[in-house]
Amino acid sequence: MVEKTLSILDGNTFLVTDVRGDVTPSPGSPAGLFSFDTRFLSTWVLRVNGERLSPMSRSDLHFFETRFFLVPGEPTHYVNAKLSVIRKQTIGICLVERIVVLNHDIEPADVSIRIDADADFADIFEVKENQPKRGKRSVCQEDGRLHLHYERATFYRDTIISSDKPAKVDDGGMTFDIRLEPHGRWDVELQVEPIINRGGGGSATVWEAYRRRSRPQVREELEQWIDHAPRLACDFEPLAAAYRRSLYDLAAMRYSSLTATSPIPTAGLPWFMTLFGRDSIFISLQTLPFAPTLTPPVLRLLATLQGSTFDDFREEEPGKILHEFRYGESAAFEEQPHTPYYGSADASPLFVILLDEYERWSGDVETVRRFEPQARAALNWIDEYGDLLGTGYIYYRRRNTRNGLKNQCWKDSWNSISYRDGRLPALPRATCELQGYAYDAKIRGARMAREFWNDPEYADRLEREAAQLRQQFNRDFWIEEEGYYALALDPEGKPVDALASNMGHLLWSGIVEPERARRVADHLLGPSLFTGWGVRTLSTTNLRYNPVGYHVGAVWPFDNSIIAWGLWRYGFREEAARIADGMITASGYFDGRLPEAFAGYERSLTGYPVEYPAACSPQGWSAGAPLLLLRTMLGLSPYPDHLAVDPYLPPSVGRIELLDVPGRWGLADAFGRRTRRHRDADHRSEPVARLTHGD
Amino acid sequence: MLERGESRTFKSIPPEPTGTVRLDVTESAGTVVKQWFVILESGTARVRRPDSETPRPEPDAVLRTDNDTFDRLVRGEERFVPLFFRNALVVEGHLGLVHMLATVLFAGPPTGHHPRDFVHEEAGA
Repeated sequence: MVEKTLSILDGNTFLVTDVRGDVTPSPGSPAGLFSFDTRFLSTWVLRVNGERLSPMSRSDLHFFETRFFLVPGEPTHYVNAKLSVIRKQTIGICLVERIVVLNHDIEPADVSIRIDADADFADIFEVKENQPKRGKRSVCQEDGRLHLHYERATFYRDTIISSDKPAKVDDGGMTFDIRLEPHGRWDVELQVEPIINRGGGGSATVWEAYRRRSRPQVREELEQWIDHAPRLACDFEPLAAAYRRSLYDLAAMRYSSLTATSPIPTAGLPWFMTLFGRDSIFISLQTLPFAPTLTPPVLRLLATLQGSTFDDFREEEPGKILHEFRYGESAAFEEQPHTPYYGSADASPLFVILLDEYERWSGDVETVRRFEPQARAALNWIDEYGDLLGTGYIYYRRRNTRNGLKNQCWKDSWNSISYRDGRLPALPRATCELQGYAYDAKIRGARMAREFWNDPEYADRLEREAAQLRQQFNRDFWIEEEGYYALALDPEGKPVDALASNMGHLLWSGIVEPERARRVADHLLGPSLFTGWGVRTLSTTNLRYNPVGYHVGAVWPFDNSIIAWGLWRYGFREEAARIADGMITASGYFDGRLPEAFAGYERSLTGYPVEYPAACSPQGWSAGAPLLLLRTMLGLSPYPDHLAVDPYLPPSVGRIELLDVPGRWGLADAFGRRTRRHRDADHRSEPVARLTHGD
Repeated sequence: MLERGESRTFKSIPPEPTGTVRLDVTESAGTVVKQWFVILESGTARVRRPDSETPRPEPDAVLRTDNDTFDRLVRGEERFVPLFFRNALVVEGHLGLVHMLATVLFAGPPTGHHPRDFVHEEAGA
């Protein structure tokens, strides 16, 4: 049984505790205070007169603050505590904990308050793989503060713990011996400061400057962020709750990188609190109609870190958009390749797609012109470096054979890409959705070249290439007797014939021939892929199907939001609405917060969605999913001078009002009602072809 | 090379960010033995050695590292970001500018493969 944990966060600094606010050393589990991928507190235990505390209740005030109400000792049937304790933990640049001790007795009380503290300075990957440290730890006390230090060559990490009341400090923590009057109260404020590569007095290094500079204050911006997002009113409470929750989580999960002036979305708590190319691009795509300001900093940082050379360890090539960026010890000493790691075959075309989609919503031509060189380099990457075999398809094969990713698509676990009979194909592999993204990137690149880069010849070339890709893709990936697109091609160009959710992304990309779309949609919503909550990553007809398999059976809200978007694009409105309904209903079982993934069990079997074990929550693109689903239900599309609205609501939702949708039109309102036409259409689903970009 | 607007990595030097980087190369003891100013401006770079005649420009950023590390960076045996993260080189001021200069100036390791060559080699092996 996994013990319940609580987390508060401020960008990539976060604290994970147990239900009483304590952190106890637990190998392999991400409890403690983390910042920039390093654990700065691995022990944080409060004792009163030597006893651990028991929780009575707590209030999660905000994403950056929790308050615990506790009593000393083990809980018994008859609690009659004479003392109680309130802990308030707040996270920002530092962790601040306010402890209040209350004496409920008519007698005075002598009380010893003790906090045990330690830091193992583990890198997040050392936590994950439970590895020992290679550097040297030390501890000292200075001016009533506890100073924990770690160094390995010139790499330094420090944790400084201080209090606003005098304490007895020792190497393992600090103690306050106090006397409480009858019905008296005492309080203390502890501060835990994580310090990276400390330079010493007055040092002007980037690390010191980052620590001192006033960062974009995510929490002060929260009200502004919520205020600027469109207001939602609807008659389906789970949708309203999921929307609210998503906006808060998306706001909380932004961090300030060392160079970025505006915050960047992180991917997931606790394992992925950093920049991922794919995740940050999908989050931006999901949120464009709601929070368009999230996108430009993502484009800027990904452009800055775009690959420029060949590096096998990092799988870097010129023009490639990064996969993962890490700041910890394993990255610094090149035990892990994350400085940055470029092992993803989809981020480069997705970068081009996002740039175009951003302009369609914002009308911000300046940005499209500014990133022209990077977008061209990313498009060039597709043909020059992505097309490994010279067959016109993006293939991937890792050059970092030590710890590079075997699968460099969004389903990046080792067993995610298989034939129906369970065999794993040889490398390199070309998954189908990569080709869809490449097609879409070329179509969108052509539009930008023609309209903004003043290069019609380049636009023509990209369109010719896209048409060629579409034609050969529909020849090579389509399995006629089954009526679906193969999951991938193997090195011989033969189809890897598993039935998987990936082809939902093909609908989004527009590479599917319209006459084949019906069969694709029927598979996606058919019993072997659709659980009743959403589309499984892998269908039950495959040998490797496992309902609790990460990419081989679990249901991913992010994946489903893209599939619904794809169904919408081909006019399958009822099917898109069914996915939206399943996802939003599922979110109701998680307080509105869709986890990274949940199990692929049949809805009728469990009655409620079963969270995938060890799923990240909150997860960035899961928080983005309700927003994109709202977009598809309302049928929002941007036009130069107006926002088009063409709603189609599922049976659970009778009415949606989305007010003040920002975009190139200023602010616009979107209304949707479930009409009799929808009810009738639910029973005879004949799609109306949709003319959108690229058609 | 920089003076001619060339780069070992990009086709040309990106037009932004702009500014002046001071490169301080030290001996192991920490004394600065070589110093350059690189002025990056709208896709061009000018390199200056300090002299007594002209006033030294006020840098927007300083990159400080020792001789050995600098040589390894130039040869592509070390990459800028991990060195920066493990504090083996020090940056003051505008990190984005230094990062851009490092990207333009320092190519990847000499062992790096074009991915197609890699696939061919693996297939032949």
